[in-house]
Amino acid sequence: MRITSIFRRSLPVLFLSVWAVCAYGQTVLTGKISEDDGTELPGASVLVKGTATGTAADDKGVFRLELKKGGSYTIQVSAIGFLSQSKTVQVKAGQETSLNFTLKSNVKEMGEVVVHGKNESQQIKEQAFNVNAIETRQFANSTADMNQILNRSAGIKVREQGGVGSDFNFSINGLSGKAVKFFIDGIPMDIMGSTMSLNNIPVNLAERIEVYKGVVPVALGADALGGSVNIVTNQGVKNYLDASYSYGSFNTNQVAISGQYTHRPTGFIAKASAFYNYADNNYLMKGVEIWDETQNAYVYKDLPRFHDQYKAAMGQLELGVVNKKWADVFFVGASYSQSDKQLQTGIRQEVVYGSATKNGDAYNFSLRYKKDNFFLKGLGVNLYSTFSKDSYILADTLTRKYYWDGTYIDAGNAETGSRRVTHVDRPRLFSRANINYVINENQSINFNYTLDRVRNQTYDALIMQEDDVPGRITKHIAGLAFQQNFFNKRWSNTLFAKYYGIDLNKRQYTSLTQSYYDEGAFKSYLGYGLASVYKLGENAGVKGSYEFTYRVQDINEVFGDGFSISNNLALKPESGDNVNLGGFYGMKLGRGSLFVEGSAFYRNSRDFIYAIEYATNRFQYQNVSKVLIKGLEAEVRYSYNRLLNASVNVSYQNAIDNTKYTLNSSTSTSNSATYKNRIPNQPWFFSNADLGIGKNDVFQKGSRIQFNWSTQYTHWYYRTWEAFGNKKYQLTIPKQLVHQASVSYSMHQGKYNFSLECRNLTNELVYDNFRLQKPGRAFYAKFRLFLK
Amino acid sequence: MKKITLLALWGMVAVLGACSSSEEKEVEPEKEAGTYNFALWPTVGSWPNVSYFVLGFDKLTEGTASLTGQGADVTTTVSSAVINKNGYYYFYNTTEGKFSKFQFKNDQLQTITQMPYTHLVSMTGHTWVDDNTLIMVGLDATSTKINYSVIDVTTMKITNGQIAGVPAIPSGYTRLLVGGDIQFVNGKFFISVGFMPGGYEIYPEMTVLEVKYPSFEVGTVSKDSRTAGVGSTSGYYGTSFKTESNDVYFLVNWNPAWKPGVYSPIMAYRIKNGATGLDPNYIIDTKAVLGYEASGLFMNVGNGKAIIKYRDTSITGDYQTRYAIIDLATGKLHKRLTELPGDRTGERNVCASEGKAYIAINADTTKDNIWIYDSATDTVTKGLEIEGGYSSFTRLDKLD
Repeated sequence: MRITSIFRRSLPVLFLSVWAVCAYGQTVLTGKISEDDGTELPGASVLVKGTATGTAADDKGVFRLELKKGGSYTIQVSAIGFLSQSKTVQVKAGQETSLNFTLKSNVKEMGEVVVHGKNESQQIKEQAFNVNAIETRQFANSTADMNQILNRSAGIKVREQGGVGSDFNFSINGLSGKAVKFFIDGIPMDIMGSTMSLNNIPVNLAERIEVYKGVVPVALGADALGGSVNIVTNQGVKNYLDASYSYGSFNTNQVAISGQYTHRPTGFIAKASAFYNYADNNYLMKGVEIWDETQNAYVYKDLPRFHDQYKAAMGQLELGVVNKKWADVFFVGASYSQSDKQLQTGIRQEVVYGSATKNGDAYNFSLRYKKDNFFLKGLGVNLYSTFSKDSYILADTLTRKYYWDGTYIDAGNAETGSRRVTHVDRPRLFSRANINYVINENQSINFNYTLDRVRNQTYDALIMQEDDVPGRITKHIAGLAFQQNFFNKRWSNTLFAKYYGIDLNKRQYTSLTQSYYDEGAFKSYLGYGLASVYKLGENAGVKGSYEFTYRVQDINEVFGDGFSISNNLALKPESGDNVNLGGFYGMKLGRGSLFVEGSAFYRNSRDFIYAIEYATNRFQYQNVSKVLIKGLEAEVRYSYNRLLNASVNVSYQNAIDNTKYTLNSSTSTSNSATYKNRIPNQPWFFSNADLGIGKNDVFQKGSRIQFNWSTQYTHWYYRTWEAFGNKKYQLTIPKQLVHQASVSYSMHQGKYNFSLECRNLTNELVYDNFRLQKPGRAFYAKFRLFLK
Repeated sequence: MKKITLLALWGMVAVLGACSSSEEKEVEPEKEAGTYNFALWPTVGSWPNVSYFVLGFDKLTEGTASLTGQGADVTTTVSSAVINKNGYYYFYNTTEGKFSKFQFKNDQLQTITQMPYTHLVSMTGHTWVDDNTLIMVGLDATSTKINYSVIDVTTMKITNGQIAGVPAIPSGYTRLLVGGDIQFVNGKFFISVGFMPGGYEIYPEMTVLEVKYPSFEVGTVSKDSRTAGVGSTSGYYGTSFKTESNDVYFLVNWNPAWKPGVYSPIMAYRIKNGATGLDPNYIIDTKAVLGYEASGLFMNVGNGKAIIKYRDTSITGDYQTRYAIIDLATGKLHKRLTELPGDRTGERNVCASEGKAYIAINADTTKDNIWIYDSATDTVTKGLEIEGGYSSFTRLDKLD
């Protein structure tokens, strides 16, 4: 009883004591996260830097982080659409310490040039990979498309066949075609249809372009033998509207709109973007051949293109939420695109078309989800899945032969070689899972898996209603990367391996039983690589990267067409060893800054796939050739405050035929005549220079006037093998020196923007592939409205 | 027997005469300055950088040749499907819609004249009425009719038309397949045709048309069901000829599948002088005669002999192409040209002239050669040496 009484009397004291001990034991960091305009920012990630300890802010932007002990902590706060921020705080043991954050939106102002700080592009360039990172915001007032911007950067050569919407060959360090893969925000670009190509996407829709040369991070899961281009769009959450219209020579009309609306109380976001491009492309062709009946001879005249109209439109809508406890990002989306294209020439300008067209459309539905600290601190997941269908029709039904003056004669054959209405339908399912785990401040693992299944149906509607031998390819590409930092992050290494599994299926026809059957094959390959950077200082470093990589076979290459192309189940993928070595150095010069970077590269590519005739009128895809490319590229950039920025880059690439034996035969013993000869018809030396001068508050406060000049030089090169044939008559592609200039005026802090641009200022005769003429001097005007 | 002996004697005299004439030409070439007696068409490089060249020579019997600093790149001008006659090349460029006349002179393929021309989907066959009159045939846009053009190669006047009386396409088949090299003889020419369905297998029979000139009407239609192929696409290949006695021989070499899973066999036929259709008692089953099927070349070398190309598929690798001599009278194998090294095939890499066959062999050797088979002496000798390593020799032409 006494004991009970004592206990009863002591209980409040005991409770208070335990409470006091507990309270003293709770070392807590609390705070509030806001946007720079004071709005509460919910869902932001709060992490003790270098550890897996963290939490997320609640709906009011408030966070509470319990710590094991007191001491000095560096707290990093990040949120989708905002620049990350770190602060160091002294937390007292057993007490609650308060720390607030104000995050700045990462939506940049028009024309914003970061002078002394490092923008994201600069940070990417200082990574271990050999990468071009271009801030496209600085070109937002220009009428340029992605190709034109990329073509000005080191190591890249875009060879277009004509004006707006024309086909092009995109080369990274000398490798092109199927060796280069294109992405938007890490997702293959062509998922949104063939309209979505680099010569179509307006510059306003992109935030940044990254070009990985030869060695590609696992997150871009693809069989990219030569490299990858990734367009990064605006990931901010602030409301904005960016709308522009431009009109220019050759009746070129371009409309681009992008914007988003965020409903603050719910975190709901609607994002939309659209573009419309139209051009007659009726630029003057100089010295083209036409038949003159009176002279009974071909004569040469300057005549406008007459069947090159191009129009394309795309619309995309995404609805979702950001910065929720269960998702940093969750969106569902849909897009539709359409393009109509008249065909003007074949591969050479002597082959003139006047009625053939290529029209297509595509749609897709997508779902994306991203969450950091997913169940486990430091674990981030990024999921994406889409279903799309891309279709196009190549119609060539008139048997005519056209001439450059637009006249024609009846012909025995259709323009492109056979009378047809070729339908191509490609339904596609693509899913990607990217998982990142930060082990500690110096170690992290990234795993990426993509499933890409495409069904290909091609048929001529003039003779059949569907493809009776459709094909299907399923690619499983998995990548695992381990990143480790040493010496206080001065030395950073990424070691990675990639698995390529391809499942090929094609319906085949057998004459033996006169029936169809499905044939399939599964093949797998393993690639690997290493990227390393050593920082010599805050703004200087050396880096190197290596990858053994593939471009895997496609369906028709393996299975043929069941008729004139026979199958080759032993076909190997194209493969290559890619090496980059380089360095960068940046310094401040008073109010200006200088940045220099350079690299050397080596590409040893093997087993290029091509169809060869192995018997009379019977073809088969085989691994037939090898190319060895060595080269150098360098770029110097200088900027002075916000007044001036200038850059010069040079690229040299020596691509030689590395096919030792003719037809790459395993039984040959005598060398091919072209072994170790320079590859013809490829630019091997080119250079670009850009100069921009701008001034704020001209004529009125909050305005900016900006003048830009750029020059591109391509050294002449041989159209054919340099060593063979009479030198006097050897075909060459002449040197090309092209200038362009633009002036823009922005008012009300970039709200209203007007610009004028002149391309090919000196009206040079500019060629590209196989001497196909490109547009002469052209003028463009653009108005852009940017509301935020 | 008496007839054969007389024929052989006549042949020997003719060949001896041709040889001496040839020798005289080599000593004192009577030709326009800057022109050549022979042209070789080498291909260099591997995909996607394959280039086609023409290289000229005065002799094929001796000397060395190389493309280094010599020859003309014709990749963007012509294909090897040109027609060669009397020192000129004629070419129907289907993609540009032009018919052109060229001369290979001073290391350049020089354009003599060219004009719009689109009458044929593609030229599937050609023959010469005389040195000045060229006939070309090919399909129309629907592939159901056979068009023709007659070209005066001096004035370049072109007359177009359509061959009348072509047999109807059998039920279940949708289009024609028209044969390659054709031969004009006794005021008419012969072409072989096949019938294709929407699918894959050709109508299991070969049809040979006698086409009268200048009416371009079909006369006799003869058929044979032992093959269903036709001659190869004209220009690229040489698979027919007429002999000194106006007998016509041709090889069917474009052989689609004609039965489930089986390509139709490659046979050679004869149309005797004065006949209007196939010789029913004559056929060369090339697989039976050679052990392997013929492969795109069948040319008259005089003295009652023809050279034929085949692939010895028992040899592993790319150098399977072999050559043999056929006795035309019997249709039997005369001999295999075992002196020649294994060849990677080219389309028209043999030039037969004045009793000799000049064979451009692309061998697995550091240097290649022109090899010469002399039908009069039945011997093979090694001629001009060519720098090795070229991908193929698509043509070898006598230009004068």
